[in-house]
Amino acid sequence: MNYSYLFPPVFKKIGWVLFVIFAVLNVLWMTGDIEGLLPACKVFSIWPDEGKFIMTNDDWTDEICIVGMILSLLFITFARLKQEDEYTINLRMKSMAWAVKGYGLIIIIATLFIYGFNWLYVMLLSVYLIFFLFIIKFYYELEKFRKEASREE
Amino acid sequence: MKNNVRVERAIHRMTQAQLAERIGVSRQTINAIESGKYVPSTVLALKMSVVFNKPVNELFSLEEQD
Repeated sequence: MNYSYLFPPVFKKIGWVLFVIFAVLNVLWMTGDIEGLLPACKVFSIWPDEGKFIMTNDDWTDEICIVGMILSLLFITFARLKQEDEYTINLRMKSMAWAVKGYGLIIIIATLFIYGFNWLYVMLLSVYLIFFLFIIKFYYELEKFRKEASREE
Repeated sequence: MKNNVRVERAIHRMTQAQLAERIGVSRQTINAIESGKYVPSTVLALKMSVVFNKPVNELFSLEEQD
């Protein structure tokens, strides 16, 4: 079985540590407590407010929060299990399909019932949503499978 | 699909854990295959065929609804 697209198992622990750190940072950033924590500096931008492919001034707080959070969730999502086999790969695929469908449904509901800046706020949070859905579904099904299979012989 | 994996395992006096280790999967996966909750891949079926020295279609067979 080819698991080359999965990270080594240790990435799950690294991911959870980073998740805790960046979850706290994200909450502080979204509530405005750490706005302007870092000084603005010149960064290369493909699509700023004005122009394209230019150097622009930006404070990196939001970039660090979002990129760090996504990296931590990627590590957790794609960390290989200590005992990975074709059943767990099959379970990953089903959980991913469930997460994508669930994500689509939640975005549709949010778009139909949430408006204005609140909708933009929800869209910002939705960046992480698909990872949460996958992680919850995959590990819940895995735990259920292990309990059921351990009971029988 | 139905299978005779449990029967063959008993004939060869193998535990689920021993069979799992021989073919490179978890014990829970063997349990899921035996109870019909999971259909193994061709590669896994062939590995079982080698372990039990039986053709694949003596280990696995189709049912009406398949």
